[in-house]
Amino acid sequence: MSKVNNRLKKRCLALLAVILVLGFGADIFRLFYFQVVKAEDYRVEAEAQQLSDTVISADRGVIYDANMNVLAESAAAWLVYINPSKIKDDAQVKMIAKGLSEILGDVEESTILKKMENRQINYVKIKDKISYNIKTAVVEFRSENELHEIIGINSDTKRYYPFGNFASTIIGMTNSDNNGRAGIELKYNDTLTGIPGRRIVARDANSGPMQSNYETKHDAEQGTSLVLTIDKSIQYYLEKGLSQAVKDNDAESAYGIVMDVNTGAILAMATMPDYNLNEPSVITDPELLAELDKITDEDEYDVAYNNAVFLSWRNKAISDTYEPGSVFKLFTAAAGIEEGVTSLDSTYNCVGAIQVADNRIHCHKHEGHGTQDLTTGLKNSCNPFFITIGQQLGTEKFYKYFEAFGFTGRTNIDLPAEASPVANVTYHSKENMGISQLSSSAFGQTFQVSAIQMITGVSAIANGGKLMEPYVVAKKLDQDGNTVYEKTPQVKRQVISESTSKTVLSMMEAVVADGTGRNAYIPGYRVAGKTGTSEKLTVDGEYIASFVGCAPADDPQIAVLIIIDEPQGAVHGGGAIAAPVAGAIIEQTLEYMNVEPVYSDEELAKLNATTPEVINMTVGGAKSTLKGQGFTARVIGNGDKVISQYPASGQSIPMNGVVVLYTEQGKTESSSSVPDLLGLSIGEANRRAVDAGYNIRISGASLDSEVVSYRQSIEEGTQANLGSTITVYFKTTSGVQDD
Amino acid sequence: MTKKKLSDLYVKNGMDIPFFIMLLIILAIGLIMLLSSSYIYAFHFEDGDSLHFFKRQGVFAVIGIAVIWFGSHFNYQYLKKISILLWFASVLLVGGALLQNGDAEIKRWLNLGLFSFQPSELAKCFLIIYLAYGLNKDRKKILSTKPSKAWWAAPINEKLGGKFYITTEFSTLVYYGFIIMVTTAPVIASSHLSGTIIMLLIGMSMLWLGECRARWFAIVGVIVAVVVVYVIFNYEDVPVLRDYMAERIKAWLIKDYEPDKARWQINHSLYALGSGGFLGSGIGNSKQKYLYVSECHTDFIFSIIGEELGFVGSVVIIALFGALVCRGVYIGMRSRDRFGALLCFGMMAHLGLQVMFNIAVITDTVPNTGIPLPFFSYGVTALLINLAEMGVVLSVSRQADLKKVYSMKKQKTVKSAQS
Repeated sequence: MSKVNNRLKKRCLALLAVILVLGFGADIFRLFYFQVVKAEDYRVEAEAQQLSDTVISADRGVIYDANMNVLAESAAAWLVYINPSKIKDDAQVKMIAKGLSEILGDVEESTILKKMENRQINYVKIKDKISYNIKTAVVEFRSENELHEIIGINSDTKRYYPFGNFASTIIGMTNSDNNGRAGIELKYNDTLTGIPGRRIVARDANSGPMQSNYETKHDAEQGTSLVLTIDKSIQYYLEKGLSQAVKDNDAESAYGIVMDVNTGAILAMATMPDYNLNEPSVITDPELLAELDKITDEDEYDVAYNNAVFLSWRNKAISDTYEPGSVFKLFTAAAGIEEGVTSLDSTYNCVGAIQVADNRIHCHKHEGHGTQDLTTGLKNSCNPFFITIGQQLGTEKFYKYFEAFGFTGRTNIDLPAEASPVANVTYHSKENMGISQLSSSAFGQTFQVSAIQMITGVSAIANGGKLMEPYVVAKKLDQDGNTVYEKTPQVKRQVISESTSKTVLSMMEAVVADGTGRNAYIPGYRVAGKTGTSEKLTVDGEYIASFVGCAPADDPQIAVLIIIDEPQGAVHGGGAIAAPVAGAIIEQTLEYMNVEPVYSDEELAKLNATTPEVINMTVGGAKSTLKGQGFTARVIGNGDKVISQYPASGQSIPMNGVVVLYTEQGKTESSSSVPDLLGLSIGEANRRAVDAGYNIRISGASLDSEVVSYRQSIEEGTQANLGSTITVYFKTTSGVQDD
Repeated sequence: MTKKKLSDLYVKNGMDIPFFIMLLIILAIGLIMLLSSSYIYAFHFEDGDSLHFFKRQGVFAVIGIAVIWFGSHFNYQYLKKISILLWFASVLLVGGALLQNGDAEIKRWLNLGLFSFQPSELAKCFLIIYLAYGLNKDRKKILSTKPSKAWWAAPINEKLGGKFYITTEFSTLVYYGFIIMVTTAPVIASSHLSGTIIMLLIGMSMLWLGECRARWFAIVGVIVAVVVVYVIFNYEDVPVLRDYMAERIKAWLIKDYEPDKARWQINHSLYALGSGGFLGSGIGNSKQKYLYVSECHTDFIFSIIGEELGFVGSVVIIALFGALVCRGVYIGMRSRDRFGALLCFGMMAHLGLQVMFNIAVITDTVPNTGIPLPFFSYGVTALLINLAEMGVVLSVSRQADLKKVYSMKKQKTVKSAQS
């Protein structure tokens, strides 16, 4: 029997109740609150402190040209940061600032010092996008001074443009945050930008490591890659032509576009001078630099420099507008023919001027062109003729075509900063188009268009009347290279009929054949085109020379527009300075595209040549003689004089054919292995044969369509004397499925 | 029924096995959690010896268990004879600590050369023993409403002339209140707020168990409530509060108060609890112990328990403590005398209060004040004293009238006695 009295027991139970029920109960209630009700909030807070979350930057997508040449890609780079919370003393601060500044080069010591001022934080970026060598130097510096806790290095990516200046205004570049700043990089920024990855590491309160199993890594996902319609070769032809044009004419700039007339795909687009994509903020043009150096005031210099840099990024082919001048007569003619107000048979008597309302508008030939038909009118680029056609059309119909050819709106090309036409500012609205405006518009004056509008319109004339939507991005590829999007060419509308298209093309061909555009004439290719020259509205006494051409005229594939801005030479006409540039580009492009030249008899005569006699000449003399006549010389032996030649003199071989020169006694024959000449175009077969030291004879094909070699007289691998002629047989491929 | 003579020094009867087993379980879990929560800190601050705290605590736990197993054989009746001496000695030690640390802000540690310890822990234990002895002895006085004959009250009563007088009950209460205040005074003086509160609560509990009249508790309760409310609203102006105390109250009241990381510890404790969630992250998987919860192997060990074992584990451990307390109370109820009961109840009140306040602190329920969790928190003197208190309960259990099935040895003796 217990001696413990009941009152004590009751008191004890009361106390027990207070402690266990109230005390422990309250504890459990609070634990429930923090561990169950609010657990998520506190867990998040905890993780925010425990986890150091590092962003792994995602590579931007690659930009390819039409043939998968890399135009822009992301390369590995590194980023240096400092953890100021780990800094021990001021001496260390100074040492770090000095050391890093020396290694990084362009980061001031004072800048680094400033960044380390706040010792509470544990991350401050010092420099990103550093190269491998600099990274290595930083790592060395870190090891030498035992700064592992303070200096950190993260991976970063850097945009790299393998071709520097190449296609710069189209590709554009990125800023330091890897965001597009211009061109494709800007327009397709979201597409190119990848999904950044993350590396999450748990850290203790002193930012030390916890345990490796607390590390989670989400890999970065590369951005979508783009395949452009731009063809590296054609772009190269265009850029070369334009930069030469700038130089030759001392022009402010020159820009141009090559378009696939049937799809609207931009094959090339360039503005010269351009800039280096890898160093977009550096001006390299010595002339411009010299001009800038004249500015003595430092601030003014900086402003001017920056403006110049900014200006150099401008894609004038879509951002600038110009008065099209005579080139626009194509559209007036097309509209007139389509509406039946004029035809190839129409004639007009130019007396050198025409009265429009109160103004007398002169033709550029003041004495007048006399009576001419429409084709001749275009060839002469006769202003009164086209004013008359415009007047015959009337405002209503003229404006209808003006609008239909796309001159009142943007083309919606997938590039940023396309010029926006504004009614009554850049062009006359229908309401405000009186007889004067109509007349001046009819021959391409008092309004402005952008180069992209112009070439899109010309392509519509060339391709049978379809206004296409121009585009630069042909395909999008995911990170494994699978096509995730493919552009289908968009026809905006049928502007003119196919027959009108053919008619205008024939007129354009005449312009090139023996009109103002004859500088663009290329033997073997039928080029159609139109020249234009206009006075700049913004700058007195300055001109814009332009030429638009398309080829081949019978089945247009490409359109080329060349614009030369403010040429300074004595001649500043489009036909004089822009047409030859366009002609060269068209020739190179068609050759590159394997459009076989079709020569007239007259041209053919020029193609084959008779070998000259070079025996007994010095090797140098023989070579220059052969070269002068368009032959290739191949020297065998080390003698000074030509002892014998093969083929002998008086033989007819293809232009550019090879003549073998033997210079040593007893060594008058040299043989080699015949190359494979099958499956090639005429041009390719000839080139390959000549390279191997042989000549070819073309046989068997109707040379006016695409042909491919299918037989060669001496089989591949056979030993034959150099200079021998191999007969190669060609046949047409049209109607045959290939590729 | 054979009864051991009160004078037998050595008691052969069996102790209460359930109580002992529960104690061992709690101690074992405590050691495991101590290891889990301390090895990171030990690695960083004890020269890479991750097991530093675990080894020390483990060794003392084993020694402590052995000592109380043997020690509990000694008849607790003898505590009566030495209780006043023990109490007096402990008060001297607390005072000694106060003097030894003259200039220090916190003066609760006594350095005895070989090791240092908090004498206030010892004082709590001896206060319980002394109060159990005194309140048992003076039960009649506590219940008496007759005029007091105490040396200080008798002359007053004479002067009052009999109509109003100081009762024996009141004068006895005043005496024990004085004892409690004497024990607490040096603790207050050593700026040991949590020690003070626990000690006062233990004293109050003992007076309550000593059957002092309830009205006094009501009065004291009201006064305490008023003081607490006053302090909460005027903590910045209360002169007796040290700066750091006011700071902690402020940090408790203002949840985003953050000068010098005033809430660092408690916030990280809550982060730990939240991270643990319902089921916990598993033993050893705490992240908050990576120096976020500073010295988390001491007063804040329960936050790491909460993180690793979750709400479920936390409740299980609280329940284990609750069960141990209940068993201790049960032993007291079945004790052979009222002294034994008061000892058990006092020790269990101490344990319960300590656990209750420790968890209240880590859950931000009360202002942050350093209260260790018995058998879990690192601290060998506290561990030994806590074990000693359990030893006292075990000693009482050896003579208590407990259900036989739990106590093999006793069962035999009782059987033989009945036959």
